Amino acid sequence: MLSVVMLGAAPAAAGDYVSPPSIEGAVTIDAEKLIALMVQRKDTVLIDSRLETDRVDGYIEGSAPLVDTRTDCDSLARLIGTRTTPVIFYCNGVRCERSGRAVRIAVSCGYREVYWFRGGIKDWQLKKFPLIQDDSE
Amino acid sequence: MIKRLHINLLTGLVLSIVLLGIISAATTLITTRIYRGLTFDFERQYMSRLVAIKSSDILAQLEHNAFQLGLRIQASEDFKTARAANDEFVLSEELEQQFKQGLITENTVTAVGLYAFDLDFKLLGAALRDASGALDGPVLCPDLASKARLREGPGRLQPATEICLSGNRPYQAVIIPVGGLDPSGYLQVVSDPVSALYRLDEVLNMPIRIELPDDTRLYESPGWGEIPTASTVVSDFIVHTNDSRPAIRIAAARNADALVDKLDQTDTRLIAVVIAIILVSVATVLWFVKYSVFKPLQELSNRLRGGRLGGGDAVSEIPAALAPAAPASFQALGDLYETLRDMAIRDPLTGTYNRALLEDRLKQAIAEHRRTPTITAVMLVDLVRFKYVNDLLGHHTGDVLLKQVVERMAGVLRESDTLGRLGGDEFAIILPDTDGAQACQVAQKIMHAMESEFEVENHTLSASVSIGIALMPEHGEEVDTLLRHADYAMYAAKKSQSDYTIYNPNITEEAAMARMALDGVLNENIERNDLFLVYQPVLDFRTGRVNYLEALIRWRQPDGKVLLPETFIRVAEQSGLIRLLSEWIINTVCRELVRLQQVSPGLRVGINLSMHNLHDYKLTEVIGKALERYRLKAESLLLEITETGVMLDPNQVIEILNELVSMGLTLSIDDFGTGHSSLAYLKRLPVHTLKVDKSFVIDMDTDEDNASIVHATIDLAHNMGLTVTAEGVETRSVYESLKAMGCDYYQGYYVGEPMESAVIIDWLNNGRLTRSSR
Repeated sequence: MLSVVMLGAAPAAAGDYVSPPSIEGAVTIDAEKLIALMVQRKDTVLIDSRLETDRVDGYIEGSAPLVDTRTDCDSLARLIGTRTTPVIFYCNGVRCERSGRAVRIAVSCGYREVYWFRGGIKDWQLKKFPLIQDDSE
Repeated sequence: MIKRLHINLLTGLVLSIVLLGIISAATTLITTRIYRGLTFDFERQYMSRLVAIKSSDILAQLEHNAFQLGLRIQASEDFKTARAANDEFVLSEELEQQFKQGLITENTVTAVGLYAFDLDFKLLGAALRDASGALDGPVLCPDLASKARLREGPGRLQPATEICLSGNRPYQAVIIPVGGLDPSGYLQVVSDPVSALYRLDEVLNMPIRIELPDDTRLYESPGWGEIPTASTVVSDFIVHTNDSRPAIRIAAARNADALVDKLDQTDTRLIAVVIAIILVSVATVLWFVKYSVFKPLQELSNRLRGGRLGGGDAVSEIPAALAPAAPASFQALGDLYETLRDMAIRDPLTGTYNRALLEDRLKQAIAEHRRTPTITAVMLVDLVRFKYVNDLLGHHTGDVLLKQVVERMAGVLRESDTLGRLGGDEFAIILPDTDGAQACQVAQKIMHAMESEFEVENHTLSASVSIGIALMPEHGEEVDTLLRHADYAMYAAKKSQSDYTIYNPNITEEAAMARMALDGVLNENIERNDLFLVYQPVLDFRTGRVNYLEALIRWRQPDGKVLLPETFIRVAEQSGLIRLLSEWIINTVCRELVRLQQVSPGLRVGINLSMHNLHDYKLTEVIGKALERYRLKAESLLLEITETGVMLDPNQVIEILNELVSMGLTLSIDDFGTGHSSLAYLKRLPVHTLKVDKSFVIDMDTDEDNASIVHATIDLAHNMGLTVTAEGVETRSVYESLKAMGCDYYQGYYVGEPMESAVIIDWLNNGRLTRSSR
């Protein structure tokens, strides 16, 4: 009885989370908008809010690793030039809480142009956009 | 006929069940054939989809591999250096290097060409696995690059893929952007999809064959040729290029033996079930029919036959034959059918048709007449005095007589005529397509057929018939009318004492009814003491004494009315009962004569004999026995016979008369003068006396012609040595005239009316004639 509850509860806790469609103070964008921003606004900062271990499987070119648990006004300030510099957060996808959390922190730190690539890596791969793998082997 | 009925009955039931079963079995088989076709179709479709899914998987895997290869190439430092050098030969060399590395990398074995482009899809370097100088040759799948070049924005970061035909060979090309979000060029990886698809036979676990659209064979599984084509399901799947041209045709084969076996098994099972159902149905129906229908019917049939036919020999055997065995049930139904049919249309006694069938036939004839006008005769035939036979000799004798009468009647009828019994002694005959004259001929033939006597159970009976004829349409066009008119005609025939009569409107109903009333009374009272004798004295002119008493029969009716013999003797003659009647008279006379002779010793009694008696050899025997019984002398009896009776068959009559005379009896010719006696025959007759008919005598005192006839007769008789009696003497003047003419004896109201035996005894005692009151 106990094991059944545990077996059922554990994946449910991880799998049931779906991020909200939008976060106040931030703009939710898709993969194409991300590319456009990155190409058009060369100062745009792309932050990968995932764990470092996730980045091994591939990351979006030009993204800086900053896991959400270490995200705060100081760590952000080290990566982002000014409060008006565009900044984009992503993580693994809509079931991933990290980018959303990071976005809220960035907004609270007073960044004006915060973008949230809510679809994340899942959406990126689905659209077959290129991922970078560090040639570690 | 009965036999055929049985076969039809039994086989009809079974055949119809079996036929239904065969139809359902055939339907089932046809359905299974259809479903078998459908099953194969489904199997083929299923296989097609399976091939489609699996081959798509393989091609997708191939695309993925190409993509991965593209990523790996651009990630290598050597490639980056070569790109930076911007030397196409160095780049091509670097790409060729990939093949050498790729050979040991499982994912890239299917790559056949690698191309590097700049952002505007200008070829920067190329390498082919199996060829050198790739830079000079055409690019494999060049269309893909042209299409990729047209893309705008973020789309340019995405890989593009297509299947193309190049030099009639199918290829899969994948374009991968080089660089991240800001690509610096593109790589095109071209693979051979066919060799990748070889794996399909393993994946599907079926032999496959891969061909080009022009039937060039590219690959065939080792097991492909071993499959017998008859039980193989083959499905085709075609891989198309991006512009919808067929590029690769993949055929997969599956051994359908198991499927066919399964379908065959299902067929066999279905047929077995159908046959079982048929057998069970037949058995059930037979069982059900036997117990619910045949058994009760068999019992009913037996009872009917037993009761109806009175346990005849042939019938009594049937119950033994009808043991509880099953086939007997069918026999019983057939027998019952025949019996019921016979009962419905036949008269059980005579085997002729019954009233229902006669009326039906007559109806048909009437209906037929409306289409083709022909005359149909309806003939009613009634056996005269048949009731006497039944009453005196028993019903069994009557039945036998009826059967014989029917046989004789049937003998003179045509095939198309219908003879039937309406009931009792009444028959009807329907003569189609005839006319009045022909109908009369038939009536005569029937009369003729009845002339000879019937031998029935040691009795010799005569049976004459009365026939009434009605013609359709002349005398009616309805069954009832025709039968009624024929009935009237028949009674008219009886009344007029003719043998047959055709209906005419003058025959009234009353006449017929009167005749019927008389019949009824006579039938019922023959055996009661309603018959009695009266005696009328015949006196001698010379002595004035009684010569003899003439015995006359009387019949007292229930209403007290007394009938004279003229009204019923002829009827008795026609029915053959005259013999019994005469026997009764002879015995009664003898019995009463014993008493009369006590009063008047030596008294003689005269008995009137019917002409029918004169043809009866037993007459002498009857008379002899009566005389013996009452110890009377033969001379005590005098027999009066009519002229006509003698003339009918003189030779035979003379023989009998001679015998009677030799016994000692006296003979008198009665009613002389009314017939057409041949004097020549008269001379041959052993008669002693003549009796002049009263029609000449009664008015001879006023009619001179009659007087002279009487005179001549007396003279003639005397000349022939005969004595003469005059009857009908009612007045003294006649008496005187006769006496003057030398007449020997006289009889009539002048001397004495017919008197009952008690009265005549008084009369004899008085020795005086008692004058009547008139």
